[in-house]
Amino acid sequence: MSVHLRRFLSWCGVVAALSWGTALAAQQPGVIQGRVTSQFGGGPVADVQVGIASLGLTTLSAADGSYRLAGVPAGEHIVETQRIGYGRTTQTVTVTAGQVLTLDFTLTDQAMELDPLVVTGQGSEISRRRLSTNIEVISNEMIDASPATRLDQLLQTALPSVQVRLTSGQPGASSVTRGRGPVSVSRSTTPVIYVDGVRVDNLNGLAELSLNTSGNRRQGTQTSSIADIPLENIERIEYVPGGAATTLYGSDAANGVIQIFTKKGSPGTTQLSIESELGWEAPVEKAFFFPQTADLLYRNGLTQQYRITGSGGNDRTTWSFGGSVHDREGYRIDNNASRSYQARTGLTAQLRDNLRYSGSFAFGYNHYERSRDGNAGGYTPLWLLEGGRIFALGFNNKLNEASSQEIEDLRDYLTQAEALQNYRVNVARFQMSHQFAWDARDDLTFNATVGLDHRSNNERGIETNEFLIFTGVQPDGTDDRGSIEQYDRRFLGLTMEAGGQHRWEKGPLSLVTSGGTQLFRDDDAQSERVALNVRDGSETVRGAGTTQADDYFIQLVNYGVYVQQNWGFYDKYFLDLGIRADGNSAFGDEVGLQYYPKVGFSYDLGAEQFFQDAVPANVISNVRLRGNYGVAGNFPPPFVNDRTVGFASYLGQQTAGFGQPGNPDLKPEKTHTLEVGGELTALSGRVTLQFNWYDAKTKDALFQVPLSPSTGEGTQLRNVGEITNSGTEFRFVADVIRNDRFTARLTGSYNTLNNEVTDAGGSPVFGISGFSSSTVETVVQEGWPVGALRGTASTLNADGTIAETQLLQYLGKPLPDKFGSLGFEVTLGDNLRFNADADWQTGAQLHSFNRQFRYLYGIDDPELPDALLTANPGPIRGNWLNLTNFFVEDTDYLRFRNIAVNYILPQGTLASWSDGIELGLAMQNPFGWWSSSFDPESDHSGAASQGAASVGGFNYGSDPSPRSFLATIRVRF
Amino acid sequence: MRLHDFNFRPASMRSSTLTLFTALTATFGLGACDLFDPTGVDNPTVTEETFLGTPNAAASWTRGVERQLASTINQVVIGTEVVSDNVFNNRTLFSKVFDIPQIDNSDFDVLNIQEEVHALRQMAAHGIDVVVPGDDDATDEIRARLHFYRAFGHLLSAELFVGLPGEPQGPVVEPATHYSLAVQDFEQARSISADAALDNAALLGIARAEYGAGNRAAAVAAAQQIKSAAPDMIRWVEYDNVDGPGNSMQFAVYDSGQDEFQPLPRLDFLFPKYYSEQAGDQSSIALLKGEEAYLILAEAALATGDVGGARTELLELLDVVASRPTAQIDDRGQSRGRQGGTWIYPNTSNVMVAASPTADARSGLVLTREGGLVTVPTVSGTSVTADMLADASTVDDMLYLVYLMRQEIFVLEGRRMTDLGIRLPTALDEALTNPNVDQGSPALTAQIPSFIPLNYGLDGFDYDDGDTLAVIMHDMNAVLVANKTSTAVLPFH
Repeated sequence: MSVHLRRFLSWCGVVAALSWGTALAAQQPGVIQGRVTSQFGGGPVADVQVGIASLGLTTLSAADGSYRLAGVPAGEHIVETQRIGYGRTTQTVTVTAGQVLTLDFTLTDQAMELDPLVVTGQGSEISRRRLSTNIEVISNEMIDASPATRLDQLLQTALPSVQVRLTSGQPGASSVTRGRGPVSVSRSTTPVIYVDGVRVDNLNGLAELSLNTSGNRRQGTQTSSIADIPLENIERIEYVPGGAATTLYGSDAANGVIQIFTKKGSPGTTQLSIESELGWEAPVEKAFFFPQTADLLYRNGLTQQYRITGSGGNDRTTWSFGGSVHDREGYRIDNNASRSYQARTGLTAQLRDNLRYSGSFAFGYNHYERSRDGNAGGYTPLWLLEGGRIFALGFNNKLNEASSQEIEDLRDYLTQAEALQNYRVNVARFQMSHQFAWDARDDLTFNATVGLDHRSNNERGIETNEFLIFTGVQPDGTDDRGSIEQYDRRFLGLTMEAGGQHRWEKGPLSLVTSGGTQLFRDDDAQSERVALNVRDGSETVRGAGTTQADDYFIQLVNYGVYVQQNWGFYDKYFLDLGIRADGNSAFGDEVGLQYYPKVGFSYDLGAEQFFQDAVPANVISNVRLRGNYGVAGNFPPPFVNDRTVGFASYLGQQTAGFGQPGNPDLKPEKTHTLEVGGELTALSGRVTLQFNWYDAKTKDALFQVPLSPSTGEGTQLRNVGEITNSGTEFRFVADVIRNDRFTARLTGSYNTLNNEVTDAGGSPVFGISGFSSSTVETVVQEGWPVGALRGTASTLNADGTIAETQLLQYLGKPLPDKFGSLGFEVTLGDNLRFNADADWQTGAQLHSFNRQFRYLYGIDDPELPDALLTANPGPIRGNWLNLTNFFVEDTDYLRFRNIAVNYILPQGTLASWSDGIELGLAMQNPFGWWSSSFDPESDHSGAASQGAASVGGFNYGSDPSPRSFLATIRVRF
Repeated sequence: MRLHDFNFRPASMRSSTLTLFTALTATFGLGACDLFDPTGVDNPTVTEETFLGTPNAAASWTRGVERQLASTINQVVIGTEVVSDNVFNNRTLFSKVFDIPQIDNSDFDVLNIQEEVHALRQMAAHGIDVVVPGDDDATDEIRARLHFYRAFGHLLSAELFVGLPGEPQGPVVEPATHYSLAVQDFEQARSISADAALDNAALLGIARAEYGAGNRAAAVAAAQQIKSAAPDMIRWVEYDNVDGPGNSMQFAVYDSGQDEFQPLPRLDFLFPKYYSEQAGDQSSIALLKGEEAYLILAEAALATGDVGGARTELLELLDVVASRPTAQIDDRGQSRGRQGGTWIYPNTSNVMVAASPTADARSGLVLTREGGLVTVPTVSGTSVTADMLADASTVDDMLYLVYLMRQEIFVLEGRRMTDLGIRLPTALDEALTNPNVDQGSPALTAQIPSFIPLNYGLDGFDYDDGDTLAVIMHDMNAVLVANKTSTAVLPFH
């Protein structure tokens, strides 16, 4: 089948489905009504599904918590409530003919819910109980309670089996997400992100053309597309970790999928809330070798945030909006300020009795100030201070021995140098989603989604002559070395999806069949303008002595069709089957459609009578087992499949040369995952445990294979490798104390990870980050973990001289063996809540170039053998690069992320006009323990190119994340 | 019309209406395919097939080879000058181990140099074998240039490496073979070129290749022809101040302002050689220059014991050097290591320099840069004088001066490492990806002659800030003469 025919069929399939979806079709004895409120604070809970399962009657609670179930026949019924973030509740009532019965519900929040309705990876909504895979759900309440200002920060503690590392304290900078290990050595580990069914830009590292103020590995200052996804008005977030759970996402989902659902409002009276948050950010002193560094380079920077939200609606339409402005002064002196404006509106409309529309629209504008860090060279203050290089500028590099006058002189220098920096980033982002749901019959629904994500990023750096002179790069009087760099990146992502779900039930057998088609495309256009010989004061490229320009374009289209069936027997045994077929413009010409199958089972052991007879319900009340096998993919980068000629300008003329070698056989790398797991609820629901074991093999892994140097060409992307990740995930929630007035809950997770490049396919060792083979780098080498640290290692004689030096040695790995999270929450009465959460890891290592530079520049390191320091007194120690193994350390840590206390004023306490006033105090990054001599999260861990893998590995002059103190007041009307 | 009304019509009517609706939907849907087709992607870069069908592809490709040459020379000059005694990497940018010298087949910089040399040869070969035959507009001049650049790829392979494949994934061939291949291509270029400048460059390339191969007669013949035809010829490699590549050595010795590379103190007066007067200015690097012919002839004369003949050649060479331009340069940005360099270098003209602990100290070799403009040669310079040549009475005395002049005249041109007898290994990646190269091949080990001092000895000197005397630890020109019979150095001896 030709590419064009495939495109045509796929595209027209989407259009037909949309057309079909927009087509319309035709379609009392007692009443139960009441109000649903939250136990904590007593406020109304909207969007609670209230129903009688045996009758198929359901309704949603309105914004004020009210609900009404009409047409209830006389008799005894079990009324059930269900809402993500809250425990499922049931009440048994007897309704008489014509009775209007009032039945109120009070919901308690639940940290780990076993049977919510979920969507991600299923095509349409389905009960999690039926699934063979695990899905994490982050509720609206958890999102509201979090002080996080960006998505990856929010996920940091909300996903117990995922590590999210904010490796730089600079605002809007990229992060590293690690789920079930790195499944690729060539592609980013960031999950795919959907907002209301629309795939959005998730570039979490450098763009091809972008501002670089942190050297050859840009992590510290690379702007992340995740950081500016508007967080306003989010209803819930679902996360699936890859494998069978993401099979239906095909070539795009080996790293897992994050799906964000936004609020659309509920029928009922208008609900408004305003929120104000004030606080400050401060450096974490422990992150620095010299205590003076925190004082010299950082400050307490004020933060403020204001937010307004509202929702309401009637039987036909509902609406919801949220908007906020956030301002950070920045915790680095005179730098790293940021400001954001965000707004999102969601709405629903009942177009016909059986056709419902929902839409969401979001806009965000972010402004970040950047500063030099990492190994940018020249004036790079953290390296100058923590690496001991500051002596080159005439200062005492032993800050802990410096006189107060020397410190003050240094402070003056740094203050002025920081003020002379001028780097900033502006990001504007617009997202919209349109979704149609058509209930064609009671047992047949169709849905269609179309939407886009448009992200516009402008980065600008100005280096003035004054800055260059002040920092010693140019002599006094220089007036022609000023420069301006400008980078623009415009990303447009389009998603179109249409599908249907059929539900069938007969006797003990139930069948849910889903199918559909999806198309997404990315358009990424970048440009660069550089001006040289710029007069100080000018901020435009125009008029410079010399100007340069460059551009970069990529486009990608992926189209797929999927079908899956979920079989249920006696509502206890479930079988899950599915397959997706994908075509992608990045595949080679010789590669056809790619298939991703899955199969799995789920067994509700707790529902078995024999189990219930054998085990009292107050001991174990719920046991479910599941297992699955599934394949998910990672498509190659766009256009790499084509063999091209490279053009460049040289001396004012066009030149041609070798471009990229191309690869007609290029296809996605596929991760085959086998997973078994289960969960149980014990001790009258006080304890919930969850367990997973997985073994994931990435076959046909994409390796950037160095061609023989003698070919004169560089590298070629090939499907030659195999990567293995395996591990266990254990998670618990325990209500240690639970009574009417006081609850204490512990949560935690324990995850193991074994990662190895099991087959390099004959490819020579190649680096994915770091510096060079003669210094230290993270490499891909068969038999080693992905991104293992490799460098020179030496042993010492007793007198501190070097006994033996060996090159290219394994020095450690940035990936942990074990990691997890911990949480503690106490609720006192109905109005006061305290919670704290933390995460931890063991078994990972990082290399500290800060330390190695300190050794080079004659600063004695207490971690090094005395004999070594004695034998090499300095001030410059020439053998420093032979000793790289001495600067690799274990990075075990336990780090508290948030500590917060919230208090809801009893209604009517202050003002009758308010529906509730909530006060909060929170600390982010309050404290932590780590085994290394440096902050293990301050990790100079950029990728080598756009979309490439990043595993971290280097402590090298990156700003560590700050500590924040926040006070919040939220008033509801 | 509400669609659910269909339910209340007779089946035949429902069927026909449904058919009509479906047809309308399909019609509109197909129209939408054209208007909103989101499936098309357009690679904005040019495929090889498309390129070969465009006019003047060979001319564009040849300019691309010239750009590649600039990149190759960049990498060669930066890497090999650090290996040699010419400069010391006084900071942490660029190679941190070549100064030792430590040269491993796994070293990123070794791989980079090899890749650049191969890229030059292969781009030229691809032009000759694929692009030119497919381009009716290709001229003899273009073919000649491509042969010239392929020859230069072989020449660099021969001069810099213990051994390298001569073709993609071919077996490692020794320098002698690369020299021979270089001569063949230079000859080919001469045979089809009507451009006198290219002809002279190819002729000097032949002289240089024959010199490297130790073929004295052939080298002398070519050098004599150059001396007659174009004694002051220069073939430049140009750098691009707008789109690059820029001159990396210029950055290291001048633009960086951070004292990256520091000269051996007795070479201070020749620096920076490359500089920028205006922001972005990029100095050219001499690929081949007439001085080489005199040096070859002088060394050839000494190989026969003809000290007088050598003196004559070198005296004429002094005239050529004197005719080369100098520039007045604002080099106040250089502090000779006083901005945190590993070593502190002499930086005032009152400092005398001894080439070794036993050598006499000489003045005039170090310039004071803080005071204002300094005058330095931009093509060739030397501290050797007619008096020194007159005083040299023995073969070894004169040979010493030949190598001192080679060092000074070719400084920062990437020639000194070869003169010192040091050769880079074939990169490990070649062995790992090329079935014709065994990982146990001797070509995978660098050639560092036993007389080369290790542990930074090549760059070492005694000097404390404020001293008026700097004493260099090893006079490598004297060492070369003392080891002239080594097969690694002095090809005519």
